[in-house]
Amino acid sequence: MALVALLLGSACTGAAPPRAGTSVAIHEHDFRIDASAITVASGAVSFDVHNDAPATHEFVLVRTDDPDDRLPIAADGISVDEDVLTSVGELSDVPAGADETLSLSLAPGRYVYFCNMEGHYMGGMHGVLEVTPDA
Amino acid sequence: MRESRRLRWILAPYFVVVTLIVGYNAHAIAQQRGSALVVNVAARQRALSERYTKDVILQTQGIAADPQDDAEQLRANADALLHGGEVTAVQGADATVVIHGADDPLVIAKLDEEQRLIAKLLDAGDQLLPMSQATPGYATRLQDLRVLGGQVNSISNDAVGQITRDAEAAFARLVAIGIALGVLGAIAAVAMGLLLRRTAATQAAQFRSLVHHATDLITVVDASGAIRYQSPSAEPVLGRSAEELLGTSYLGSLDAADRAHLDAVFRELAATPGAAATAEYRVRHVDGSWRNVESIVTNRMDDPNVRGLVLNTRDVTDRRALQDELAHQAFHDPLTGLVNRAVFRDRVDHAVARAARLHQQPAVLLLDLDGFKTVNDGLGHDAGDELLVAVGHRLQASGRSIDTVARIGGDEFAILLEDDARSAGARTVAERVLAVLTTPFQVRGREVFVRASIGIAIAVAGTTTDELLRNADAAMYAAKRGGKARYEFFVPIMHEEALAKFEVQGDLDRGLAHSEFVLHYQPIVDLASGSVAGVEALVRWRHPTRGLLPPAAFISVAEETGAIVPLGAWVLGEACRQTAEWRRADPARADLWVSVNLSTRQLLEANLVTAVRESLRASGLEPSALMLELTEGSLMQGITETAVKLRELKELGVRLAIDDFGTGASSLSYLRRFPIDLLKIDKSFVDELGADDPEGPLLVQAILDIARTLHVDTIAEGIEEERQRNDLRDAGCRTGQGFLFARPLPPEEVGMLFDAGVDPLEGASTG
Repeated sequence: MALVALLLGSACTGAAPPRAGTSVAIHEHDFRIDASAITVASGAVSFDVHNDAPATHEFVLVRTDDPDDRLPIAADGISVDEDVLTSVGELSDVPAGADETLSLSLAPGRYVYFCNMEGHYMGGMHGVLEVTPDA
Repeated sequence: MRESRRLRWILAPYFVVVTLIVGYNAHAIAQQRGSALVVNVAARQRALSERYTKDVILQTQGIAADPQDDAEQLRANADALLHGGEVTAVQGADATVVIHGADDPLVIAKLDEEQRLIAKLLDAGDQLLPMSQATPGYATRLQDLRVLGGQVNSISNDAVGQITRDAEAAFARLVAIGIALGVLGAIAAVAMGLLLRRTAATQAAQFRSLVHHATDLITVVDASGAIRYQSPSAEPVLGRSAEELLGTSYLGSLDAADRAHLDAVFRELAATPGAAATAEYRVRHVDGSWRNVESIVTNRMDDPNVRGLVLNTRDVTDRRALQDELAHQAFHDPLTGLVNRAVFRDRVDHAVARAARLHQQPAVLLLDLDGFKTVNDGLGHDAGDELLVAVGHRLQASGRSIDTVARIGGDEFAILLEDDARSAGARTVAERVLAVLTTPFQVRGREVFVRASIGIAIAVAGTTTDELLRNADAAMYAAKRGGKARYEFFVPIMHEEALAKFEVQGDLDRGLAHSEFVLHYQPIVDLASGSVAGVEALVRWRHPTRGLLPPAAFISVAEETGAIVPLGAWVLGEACRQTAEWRRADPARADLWVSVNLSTRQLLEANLVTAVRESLRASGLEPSALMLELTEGSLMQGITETAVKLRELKELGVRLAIDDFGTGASSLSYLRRFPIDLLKIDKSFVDELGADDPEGPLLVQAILDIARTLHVDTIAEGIEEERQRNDLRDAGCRTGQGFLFARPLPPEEVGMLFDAGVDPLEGASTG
């Protein structure tokens, strides 16, 4: 049924991203975050987060035009100051080896995701996601 | 010895369980302590990493610090956490503790990561240490150090969290197992307590037994039986003190037979040192009573301390009394104390065997009490028991002492006369028994009358016990049939009757199942016109081997066995069906009715009315065309209930007749209580009409007067002569039946008769 809708939708709207919602696969490592997409269409987006690392990690998404490695830093000098950012959503505790999903409805714009456990952001756990207007 | 071994067996498992519990608890405590240490060491890594970072920075700023010491501890702890080993205690400067390595794969992964990050941290520290704040790239290196420090903190927290969770889960398991073991321990403790108590009880019993044995008499005698030593326990048994007995003959307190026996035992034993024997005999107490004792006699002649025969003697009087009582119970009826059936049979066996040898004629009297059931049902079983005991006493008193009186069943007694030449003795005993039973019994403060029916059988040459008892049984039934409170001698025909009855019982059920029963109908005729008014249905049995049987051959047996109920139901249904068919077949016979006999047993059946209603419904017969015949005798059974049933039958529209009227003892007042339509005058009165007896017509006239008083109709039965028919008609009797008109006939012949008519004078008239 979903497939039929998908095919019909494609036939009608040409190359536009599907309306049914997009999923982005996120793989977290010590200390790196890999995403399956760097651009998604606005609307429903689900982040399927898998933690490949032995350590516990977070997945925090904020809307910002700052470069992903230049986010405002808190007093400890190594963590992102989340208080001055607009958090769109987060998974605060993804245990080692676990899969968790964060489902959001995203407006068009620029987003940055990162893990804000001590030393992890600066260790390299961040990335950018562009959300394009729905065609 | 055996007891201590058993105790060991009881205690061993208990100690195993207790050891298990204690051991496990110790293990659990050690585990917990170990887990706590690991958590402490793991948590300390964070502090160490922070201190290391701080010390490196201080050092680069020219302030003395010892980051290498922090670095060493970090490395050592990381290794100990992974693989186990000695670490510096968290509290207290010098103490060291030993921790065990991680075994949870997740914890190991985190600790591996921690170790890797510590290495990187220390590496970053090593690069920073030679620098000062002025050195180019210092800020970048410093940030690397702090980021790595943060990462070590983070993974260290992570590992502590996982170790704590593991420890909590392990603790929960330890607690669960601890509780389970505790329960097991409690069960083991209770079980051990019970076992110990039982063991204690056994030991106590054995001890008691030992003490009891101490009451045995110990006597030492020489070969002649003179007492050389006597234990003090002799006094209660013999009534004489040990001192008095010394020097006297042990055999002196025995009777002659026992004395000879024990003397022989002594002599025989005296010949063989060490030999032992057991003897049971009686000794006389000085008060004249006898005690049963049992001795183990041992020859201790060659024991220099004894030099005699040792008697170990026990008083077994109570045991013997119990044995005698048990033997009595096995052979006697516990209620009356008379011998039981088994013993009676045995005595008859002996008498029969002896009779063959000595040409005697044993006789068996079998008594069945008449009216016992009434007492039992009316006054209760206790009263019944009391009566049986009293009867037993009278029977015992009425026989000769050599005769055996037995109770062989519920209310059945038997007397065996060992020799009864020419049956005079049996007759005398039977008459005496009947006579002693005429005096009423006092049971529960009431006078109770019972009678006995007695069957007598006398053994002739070759009679077996079974035959003798069976013959007496047959004779007893003959006596019962003959009117009770009487005796009958067995004659062979009784046996045939009993046999025939036995066969009939078996056949009846089969006959019913195979539809072997048929109905014959005897016309009932209007005495004035000769026309057939109705028919009486009479059952016949087409027996496969004995031919067509009249009711007399099977009805009484059917009454006894209860087969009369299904048979009666069939008769009722079939008679209704046939009559309805006749009535439908010819408008001239639309008023034909049928008369059906009801037995006493049927009348007492709870569902009689339903059965009648069902027969009428099934056949479609008008209720008024069915007449039910009852005997006076059956009306007198359960009068109240019967009256209710008869009224219900009347309400159905059925007519009721009294059969064989005049032969029973029904009183007019009773008859008035029942809704009777008709009296059937018994054949015996009709027979009188044929004879030249002037009273004959008077009796018939009296019955007809009664009928008129009761406003009921009459049918005369058994009319065989025209004169009888005429007399009856003239006296006012309207209908009758008998061979003069027709015998009972199969239905098809009755059908022809309707057309031909039955009147012997006006043979051509139509019915």
